[in-house]
Amino acid sequence: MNEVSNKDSFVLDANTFAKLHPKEFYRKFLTNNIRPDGRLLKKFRKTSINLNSLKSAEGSCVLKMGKTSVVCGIKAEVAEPRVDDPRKGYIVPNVELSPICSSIFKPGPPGELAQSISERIDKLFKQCKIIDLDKLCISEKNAVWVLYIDVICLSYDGNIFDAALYSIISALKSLKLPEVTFIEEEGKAEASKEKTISLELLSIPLSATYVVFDDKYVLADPNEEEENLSSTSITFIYNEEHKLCGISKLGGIPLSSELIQDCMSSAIERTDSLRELLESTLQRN
Amino acid sequence: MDKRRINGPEISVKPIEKKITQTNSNDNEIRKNNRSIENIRPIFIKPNVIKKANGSAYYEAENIKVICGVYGPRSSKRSMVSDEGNIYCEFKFAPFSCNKRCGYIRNAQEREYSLIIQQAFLPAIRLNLYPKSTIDIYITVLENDGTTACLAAAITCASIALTDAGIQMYDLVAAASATCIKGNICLDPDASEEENDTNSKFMLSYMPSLKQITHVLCTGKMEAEQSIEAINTCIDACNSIKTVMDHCLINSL
Amino acid sequence: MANEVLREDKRTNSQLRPISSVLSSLNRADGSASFSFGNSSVLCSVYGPQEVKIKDELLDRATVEVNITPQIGIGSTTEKNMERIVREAFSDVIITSLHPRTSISITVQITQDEGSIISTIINAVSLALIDAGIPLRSTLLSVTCAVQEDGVILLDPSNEEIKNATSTHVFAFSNTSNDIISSESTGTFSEEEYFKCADICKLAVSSVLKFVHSAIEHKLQKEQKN
Repeated sequence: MNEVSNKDSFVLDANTFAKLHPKEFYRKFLTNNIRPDGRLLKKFRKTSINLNSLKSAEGSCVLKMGKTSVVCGIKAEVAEPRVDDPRKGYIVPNVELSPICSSIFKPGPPGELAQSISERIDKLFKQCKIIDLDKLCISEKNAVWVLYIDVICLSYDGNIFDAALYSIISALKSLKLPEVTFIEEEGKAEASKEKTISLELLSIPLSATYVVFDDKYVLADPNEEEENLSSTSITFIYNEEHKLCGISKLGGIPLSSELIQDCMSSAIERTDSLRELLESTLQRN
Repeated sequence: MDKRRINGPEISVKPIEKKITQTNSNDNEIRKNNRSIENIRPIFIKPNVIKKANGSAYYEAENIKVICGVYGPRSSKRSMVSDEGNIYCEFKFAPFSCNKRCGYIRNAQEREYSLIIQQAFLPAIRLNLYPKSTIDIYITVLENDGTTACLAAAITCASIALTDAGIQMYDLVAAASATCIKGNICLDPDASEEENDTNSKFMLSYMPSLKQITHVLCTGKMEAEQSIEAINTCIDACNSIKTVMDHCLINSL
Repeated sequence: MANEVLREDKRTNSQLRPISSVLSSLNRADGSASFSFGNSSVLCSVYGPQEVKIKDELLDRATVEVNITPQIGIGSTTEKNMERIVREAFSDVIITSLHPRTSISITVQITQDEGSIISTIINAVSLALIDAGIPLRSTLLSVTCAVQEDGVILLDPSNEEIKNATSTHVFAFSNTSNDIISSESTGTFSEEEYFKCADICKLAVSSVLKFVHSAIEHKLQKEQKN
């Protein structure tokens, strides 16, 4: 029998320690400027996108950002326009965080987080001209396109807003609408299968999210654990002209403007690299 | 109006597709997709794709894409004391997965399929080992190309996900689908083949090692002998699907 | 000032609408307050610390619930998003660790939405929390501003002004720190505009704080008389 040599020293292995004292566990890493998953503090997770892999959708994007993965599919349908805006189409973005992606989400209608993200993205479409809604017109007063943009989270590991927005923009870029002629006598819209048109995006807003741990460590692209342990989070949305399209800082501890400015320059870099990735993926297709 | 989602216009429809005059060069062939009647689409399965799930798997067979997450065994929500664990299954088509857009709330068909999957696994899982617990199986179809084939894919995929979760089972459950076209049993029908002269749908879930059938679904017009023939062809298909599943599981170790 | 243009409602660009508030207007609630910026007004009630549902129970702190009901009908995604903003804004303000395994429930009824509604809600919640005697680290107050196409920043904008603005910024500051606690900006804007708006709102928040102080003093005096 092997006796434990030193009864007084009680040694925890790393996994147990991380579970019992998650904050202390993180602090030990962060003082050495590295995160438990091996990333530097301002390093984003490896992001990859796959465009148009779903044939049933008019546009689609499968996105992986570390262990977070989402699928965005766009279905285009035809509807009557609003009476007050006879030329404008509709964009209907919805984010679904179903129980498949994590045990924190319950079955049933979308929870607060999913609703809040859908609302934010809807607001972004309404306030920052991403798509010229007039371009979605098929026949004035009769028929316009409705783009149902649905994001489904497959695996949840934090920073879902960045993932959702990037997948939506990528799916929109890959969108191929069939050419439709409206037959007024019959009130029907007829689509031709061979001819497709893609949609021009007026701007490409993308986001970058940071969380602050212990008032001083700024962590980019937090995973779920980091989100839960942090004291505040801040999201920046930048378009390709480096203009801001939204900032949202959710409560928590106060952040100084120096810290915010520091994040801003990193966010510009990040959103630029995402746009590059999107361009190169589009060219390969 | 759903207050918990962003809403579009009240009514919207898919534009009517112009009829394309098909060149029926291979009219005498039973299948249009260059497959023989006993041919199934090549299958790719990958386990452990969802980080936070106890077990998960992704299934792809050409244009069929299914993802499954298994959570559990975890304590049942209902405080009912039971000696056996129970299975809860939620099967959902993603809104963009079908030719026509699906709603967010599960419709009658999706509910029915959820029940079928639950039934297909009841004889396979050793539920007596999990008293007072629930095993939740969530399945999302990302792309649909043949509804019955999707159901079969969901069962095969869930089987791998359950194994990935370490749930004790008597055997893997493999499932295969078939339809009857002009008197011939065709395996693994795609969306275009599903609407045929007989409108028949056949799906069999099977435990290959134990040689036991866990569930049979048979609807539409099908002769009695044809059904028996369908069972046999599907069993053969399940056996070949099992080799794919075995491969996938061995590779994941 | 020369460059101050009068707005439609005859305010200057950096002028808040008249603020008013009533404390303890509901007698069944543990604390309540109504707050209004001009015609934008909300009523807020606070219950707690009280019993918590088992599924929401937190072992080391109180659960904060926020419910926002719009003027008409039931809440949609817009209200859910506001609930999240408000709850997160107060997450570090309420000292939740003092009341573990309880819930603090905040209910907000929007009585009239004439712009800057999130700020109005945050201010009402702050007052109601004080009225309920919930331990707070600081007083959190909020002001909204909107940037017009010509770059002019309008404080406390009305709905009409928000509609014509290129960007809208909601800021919340506490009385103990000079830095931003909560911020919600939408529209297209530059970094300089963001920080300029933050400074303007910070200044405005201090005048709201003065009002809040006098409102509470007024209430205390009234209580002493009785």
